[in-house]
Amino acid sequence: MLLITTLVVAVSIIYYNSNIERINLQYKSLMQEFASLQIKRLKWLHNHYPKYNKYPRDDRYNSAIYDLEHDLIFSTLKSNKINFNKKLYFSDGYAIYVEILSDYYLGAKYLFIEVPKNGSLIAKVYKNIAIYGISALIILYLLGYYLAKLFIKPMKDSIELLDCFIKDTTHEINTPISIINSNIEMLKKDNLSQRDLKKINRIKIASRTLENIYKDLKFSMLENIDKATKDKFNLKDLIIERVEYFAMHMESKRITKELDLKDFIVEGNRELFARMVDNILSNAIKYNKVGGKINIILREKELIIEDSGVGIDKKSIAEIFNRYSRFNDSEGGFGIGLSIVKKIADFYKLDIKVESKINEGTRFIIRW
Amino acid sequence: MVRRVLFIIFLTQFLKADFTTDCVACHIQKRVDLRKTFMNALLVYGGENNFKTALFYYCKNPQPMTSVMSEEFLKKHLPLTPIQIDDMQLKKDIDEYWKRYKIKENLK
Ligand code: HEC
Repeated sequence: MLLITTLVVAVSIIYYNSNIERINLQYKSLMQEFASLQIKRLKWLHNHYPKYNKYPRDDRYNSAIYDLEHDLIFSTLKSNKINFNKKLYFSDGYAIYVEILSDYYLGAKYLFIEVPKNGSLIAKVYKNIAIYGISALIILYLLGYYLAKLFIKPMKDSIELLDCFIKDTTHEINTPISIINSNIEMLKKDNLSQRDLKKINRIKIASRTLENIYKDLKFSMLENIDKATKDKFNLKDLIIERVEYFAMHMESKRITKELDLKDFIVEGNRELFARMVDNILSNAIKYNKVGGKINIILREKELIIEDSGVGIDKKSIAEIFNRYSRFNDSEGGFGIGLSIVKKIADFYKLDIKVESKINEGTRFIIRW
Repeated sequence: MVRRVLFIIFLTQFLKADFTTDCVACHIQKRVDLRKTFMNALLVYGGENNFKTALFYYCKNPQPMTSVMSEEFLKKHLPLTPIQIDDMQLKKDIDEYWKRYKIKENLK
């Protein structure tokens, strides 16, 4: 866009300059004729002076003569700007041409010839620049737009394809995860050794992580969340349920939790709220230290989830809700979790705030 | 008596020192048109100051090489003789000469 504009402007400037030169040349050749005519007349007057003393005049031009000391001898000029150093100049709507005489007729070294400036000549140049410049701009813009579209189309196609693929895959992941989860639950744990039990727990954690990822993906594939059903539920119960769900995750990192929950009836989709809480919780676990702490406080119209994790530096706080951004690269994940939190909070018009201190922890505050 | 004679001498000296007696008389005698010499000089010397200083110098050292007149014309007047007028008076005469033909004021 910028390139096209500069190109058109550059061409216009070149066109303008060449035309100015052409116009100047036109003026020059016309005024040179006047000048030689005037010189002839001055010569005649010189030879017949002082018997004749009428300065030669012409309807087509005004003129003036100056001596070599730049003193005025005689002038019929209308413009009062006199420049001895230029061959051609413009002043007060006049074009002025300067001829230097080799024979000083009547003592004149400089002869000024003045004609009214022809405005239509330059106006035509401006008109041409306006018409051709603007049409060139429009055509080039359209061309650029068309080409951009042409180039972007394959990219768009491949993005769509990728989207389709993720959608299908997401759908396909559901069944195996459910099978793993339900089978682990059904497993008879009595006759398992302590070590096997530990292994089973790890599998359980892994499959729940997987389940979370699946739910996040499913959410991001969701075309519009306004279609979500409206429920009325106690957020306290939901939080207890979700904390329970992540209990094993916390245990594996020896994270202790402290809950201070009051009843708070919320209106909205329960599943969406679960997504929000899950994502904040899983972050609080993921970025926590081994043996760290998680505090959850729920009051009327306020939910606070704080951890004693690595923290986020000030610069990154602004970006954490962006898609695919991660606190740091030490932990895996898609980085879409917090963008989902933000999306849901925005949908329910909740105010969400993040406070964090490096190596001390992070606090999420959600207010209704 | 002596006073009177001195006065007359002074008067004649004074009367003599004037453009008509200094320049015109000789020019009439030599048939050299002062108008033509003026216009020729102006053609070459251009401005007032340049004209006056150049002519002053020429009057004291007339040379065919620096003359503004044509060679044919000069042939009739060779050898050129420097004008015997003192500097102050010569300057005055030249000023008078310029005033007589001054273009600037006379053009209409
Ligand atoms: C003794 C005679 C004589 C007197 C006095 C004299 N002139 Fe001349 N003048 C001449 C002659 C002869 C010429 C032509 C030869 C020449 O051009 O030098 C001449 C030439 C000139 C010319 C042409 C100069 C040139 O470049 O050829 C000028 C101008 C002129 N006179 C001015 C004056 C003025 C002004 C005075 C008074 C201060 C003066 N003359 C006094 C004899 C005289």
